[in-house]
Amino acid sequence: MKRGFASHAEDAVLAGITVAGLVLFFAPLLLGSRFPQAVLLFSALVAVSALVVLGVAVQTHRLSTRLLAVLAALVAVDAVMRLVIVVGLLGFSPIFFLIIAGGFAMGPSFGFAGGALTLLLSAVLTAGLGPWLPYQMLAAGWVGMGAGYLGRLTGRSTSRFTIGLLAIYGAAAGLAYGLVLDLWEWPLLLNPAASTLSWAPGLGLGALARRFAGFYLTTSLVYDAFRAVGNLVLIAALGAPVVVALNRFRRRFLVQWSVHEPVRAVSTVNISTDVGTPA
Amino acid sequence: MIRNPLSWSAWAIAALAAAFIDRSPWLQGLLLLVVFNLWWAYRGRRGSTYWKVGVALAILPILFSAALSRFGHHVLVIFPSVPIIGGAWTWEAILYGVSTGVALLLTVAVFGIVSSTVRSADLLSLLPPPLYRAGTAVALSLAFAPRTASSFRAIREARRLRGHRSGWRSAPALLVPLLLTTLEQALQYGESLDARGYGSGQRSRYRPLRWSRLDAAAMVAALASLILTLVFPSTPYNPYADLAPAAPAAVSIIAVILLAAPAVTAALPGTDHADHHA
Amino acid sequence: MPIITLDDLHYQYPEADRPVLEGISTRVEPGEVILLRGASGSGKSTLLRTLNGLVPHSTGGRFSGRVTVGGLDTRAHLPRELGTRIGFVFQHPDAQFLLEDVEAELAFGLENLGLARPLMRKRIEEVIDQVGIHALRHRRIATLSGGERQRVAIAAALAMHPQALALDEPTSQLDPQAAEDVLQVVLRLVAELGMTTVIAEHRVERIAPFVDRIWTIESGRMLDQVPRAALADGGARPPVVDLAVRAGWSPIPLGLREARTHATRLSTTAPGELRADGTGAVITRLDSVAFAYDGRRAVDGASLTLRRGQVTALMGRNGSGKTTLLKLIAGILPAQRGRITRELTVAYVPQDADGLLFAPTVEEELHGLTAESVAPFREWRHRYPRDLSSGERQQLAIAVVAARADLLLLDEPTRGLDPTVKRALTSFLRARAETEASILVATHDVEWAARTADRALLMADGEIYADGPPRTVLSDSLVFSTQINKLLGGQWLLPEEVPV
Repeated sequence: MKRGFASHAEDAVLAGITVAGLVLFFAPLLLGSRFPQAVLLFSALVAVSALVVLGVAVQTHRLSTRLLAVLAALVAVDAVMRLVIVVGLLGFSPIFFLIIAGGFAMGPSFGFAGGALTLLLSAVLTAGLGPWLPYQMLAAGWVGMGAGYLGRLTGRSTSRFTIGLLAIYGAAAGLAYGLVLDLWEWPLLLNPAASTLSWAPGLGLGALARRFAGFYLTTSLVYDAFRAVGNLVLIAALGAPVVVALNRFRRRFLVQWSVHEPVRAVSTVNISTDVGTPA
Repeated sequence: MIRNPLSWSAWAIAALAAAFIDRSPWLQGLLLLVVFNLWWAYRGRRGSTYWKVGVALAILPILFSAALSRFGHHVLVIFPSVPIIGGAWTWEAILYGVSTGVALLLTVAVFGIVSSTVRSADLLSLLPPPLYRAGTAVALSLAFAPRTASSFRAIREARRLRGHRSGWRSAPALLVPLLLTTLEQALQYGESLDARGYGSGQRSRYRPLRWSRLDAAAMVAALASLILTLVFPSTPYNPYADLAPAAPAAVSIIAVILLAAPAVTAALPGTDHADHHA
Repeated sequence: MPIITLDDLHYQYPEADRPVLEGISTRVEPGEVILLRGASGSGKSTLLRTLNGLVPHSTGGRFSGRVTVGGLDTRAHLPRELGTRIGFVFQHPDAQFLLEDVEAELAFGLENLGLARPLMRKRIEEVIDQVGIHALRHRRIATLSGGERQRVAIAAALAMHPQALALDEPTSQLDPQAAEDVLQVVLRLVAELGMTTVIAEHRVERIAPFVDRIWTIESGRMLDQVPRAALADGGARPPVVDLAVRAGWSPIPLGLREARTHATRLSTTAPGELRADGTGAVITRLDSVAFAYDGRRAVDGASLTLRRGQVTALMGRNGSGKTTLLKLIAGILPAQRGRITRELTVAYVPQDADGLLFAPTVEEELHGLTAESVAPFREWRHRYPRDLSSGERQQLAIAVVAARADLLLLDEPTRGLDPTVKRALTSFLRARAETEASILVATHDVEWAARTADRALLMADGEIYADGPPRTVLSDSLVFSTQINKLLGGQWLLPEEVPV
C-alpha cells in the first residue's frame, strides 16, 4: 500500500504536537521567577489540556466512523481491563499494554488518540480526575504514537524479533512516561527552598539537570521500573496473539484500497474509503 | 439551580484556578467550605467516590514533602539515618505537603461536582464542530464500557467451566476474544452511526442551551473570580519562611467567595427545585 | 416508479476470495413489503446494506452494478444522504445507541442532517405517535428492554422521513412477546403510511401473511418470487406451510388465518405421546433455590430435578431469571438460599458463545478432545474460528465446552440461527441425550423447543410455574404455543405429527 499525502500530513501534525508538548513540559521549569509559580503552572496546565484536546480532535477527525467506533472499543476494553484486573504493584499498570499493541497495529495517529483517550476514560471510570490528567493523556498519547511508528517501521510483523523489540519499547516507554510526568510533578511537590533536590527558579540548566536527576532517582525510578518491567513482560507474553488478532481484524474490516474516480458510467469499480491509517 | 453546562464549565475553570493557585491555608479552607456547600446543594444520587479518592490523593504530597525535605526549624520527628528519608521530618515540610494535598483534593472535588450536574449528552452537543468527533469517541467508549465489563465476566465464567484455570496463563484467552467481540460490536455501532447520517457537515442542536438569569449571573461570577485569581494571585504560602500563613488579601477572599454563586442561587426562593440529572 | 432498483449487482468484500452477491437484479415498488430469507452467511445482511450505502461506502470492497434508492444512486451518495430515503434497523438492540436518553437519540439523526429546531421537534413528536412510544420518551436507554430499544431504533430511523425501511433480523435477539410488539409496529407503518419495507428474518411465521414478495438468497444469487411459490419451494417457512405441503392443500396458506379453512378438514384425534417421560437417573436437584443481585430477586424459590437422557427446555420472557438459574446450576453463582445437589461435570455455554473461541485455527480450538467430537469439524480444521458463520461458531463452541459433560446447559443457542442449523442442533442434542447426558436449554424459540425437548419449563419472576412434557406445557398458551397448536388446538405441536 502506498503512503500518500495523507501520511505526511499526519506525521507533521504528530510532530507538531510532540514539540509543543515538550515545550510545555519544560517551560515552567525554565522560565524562572518572573511569574508567580502557581499561575505559571496553571497556565501550563491549561495549555497542555488545550494541546491534548486539539491533538485528539485532529487525529480523530480523519478517521472514518467505523474506525472511530473501533477506537472507542479499544479504549473501553483497555480501561475496563484495568478496572477488572486489579493487579497493580507500584507503577505497574496493565493499561499500557493495549495502548502499545493497539498503536503498533493501527498506526501512530490511532495510537496517539488511543493513548490519550484511554487515560481519560480510565480516569472517568475510577473517579481519578485531577490536574495530572492532561499530562498523563499527552504522555500516554506519545507512548501509543511511538508504538505506531515502530509498527510502521517493522511492517507490523509479529515475529519473535519484532515482538521482542516491541517489548523493549514498552519498557523504555514505561520509564519515559514516568520521567515526563515527573517533570510536571517536580515543581509541585517540593517547595523551592526546601531541599537540595527541589526545583528552584533561576537555576542554570546544569544545576537543574542534576537536581532533577536526583529527584527522579530517589522518587520515581523504582516506581517506574515496575511499570517498565510490567510492560515488557505483558508484551512479551501477550503481544503476539493480540497483535495478530488486531492485524487480522484490521485487514478484514478496515483496510481499504485507494479512492478512485466517481462512479457514474463505470460498471466495475473499486470503491474504498480513505481510512487515514496508511500501511 | 444552575443548569447551563457552559456556566458550569466556566465555574469549573475558575474553581480549578483558585484551587491550584491559592495556597494560603486560609483561602484553601474557605475554598473547601465553598466547594462543600456546592456539593451539598447539588448533590445527586451518585455516591461520594470522588471524596474518597481525593482524600487518598491528598495524603501523597504530604508524605513526599515530609520525607524528602530537610529544612525547617520545627522538627516533628527524627528518623534514623536511612538514606534519603532519614533525618528530621519537619512541620514546615509537612505543612507544605498539606497545602499541595488540599489543592489536589479540591481539583478532584471540582470534577466531582461538575460530573453530577452536567449531562454527558449536553456536553457532547456543546462541543464545537472540530471537537465533535473526538467527543463522540469518548461518548462511545463510555457506552461500551459497561458492556465490555459484563462480556469480560461472562467469558471468564465460561472458561472456568471449560476447565481452564483462571490465572495469569489464561490472559490471552480472555483478552483476545473480549477484544475481538468488542471490536466487532464496534463495527455495528459505526454502521449505525453512518446510517443515521453521522459525518462531517453542519449539525444543529435539538436541545437549545437555556440561559436563565441565574445561569448568566453564575457565569459572570465565575469569570470575575477567574480574572481576580489570575491577575491578583495570592501570596504563595511558604512554611519554610514563616510557619504561620499571612492574612490573605481582600481580593483573593472575594475571588473565592464568588465561586459560591451557584450555591447561593440554589438557595434563592422561587428558583426551580426540580431534580436535576444526577 | 420503483423505489428501489438493483441492476446486476455484484459485490465482494475486501480480503474475500469469492463474491458474496452475484448478478442480483430486481425492483421494489412503493408500498411493497419484501421478506428476505437466506442461510447465515448467504449475503442477506450484505444485500440489505447495499440499500443504504453502507456497502460499499463503509465496507470498501469490489462493487459493480447499480443500486438506486429513492432515485439516488448508492455509489454516488453517502449513507448519510441515503438515510433520508431508507431507514435501517440493526439486529442487536444494544449496539445502536450512543446518547443517554430516548429523546436525544431520536433527535440524533436529525441533528446530523442539520435540520432547524422546530422541524426536528415536529418530526420527533410525530414519530413518537406513529411508533407509540410515549411512555418511553424520557427514559434512559440503559433502562429499556430489548423490544423497547428496537422500537426506539425504528422511531429514530423513521424520524428522518425515509420512503422505505430496511430491517436486519430485528427480532432475533428478542423474546416472543417483544418480537411480536416490534413486528406490530412495522406492520402498522406498512398499513398506515404505506412504508416500503425490506425485512430479513429467519422466523418467518409472523410476517409471512403480510408480505408481497419473498427474496431468497443462496450462494450469492437471489430468487424473487411471490410468497406462495417461494414458501412452497422450501427454505425458511412457517410450520403451517410445512403441514400444507404434506397435506397437499392448495393454495398454500401463508399464515394462520388462511390455514384455518383447510384445517377444518383434518381429523382431530389427540396425538400420541412422542416421547416417554424421563426415566433416567436424577442428575441434579434444586430445592427452593434463590438468588438476588443487589437486592433484586432474580431467582426466587425454584425447585427442579434434572434426569439423564432428557432434554429440557426452559422458557420465559427476558428478565424472568433463566440465565441466573442456569448459572446457579452451573455453579458459577452460589445459591443464596436453598440447596443444589449435583454430582457430575457441568458444561455451560453462555449466550454469547463467541467469547469462548480464541485459537487461531479450529484444529487448535478442538485440541484435547476425542476424535469423535472433532470429526464433524474436519473440513474446517484450518480455518480461523471467527471467520465461520454464526451457526458454525455456535456448533464449535458447544463442541469445545461440552465434550465430556454429563450436564449441558445452553443459554439461548438458537438466536439468529437459520432453520438448517437449528435442525442440526436438535439432532446433536438428541444424540447427546442418547448417551445419557442431561441437557437444559434456555430458549425463546417455541417451535424449536417443541421439536427438541422432552420436557418444558416455564419461568417468570424467578419461579418455575410450569413443568411437564411439551405437549401439555406448550399447548393452550397464547405466548408459548407453536403455530400448529394455535391452528389445531388440542395437544398438537408440530406439522410432521399431524395425520393427513
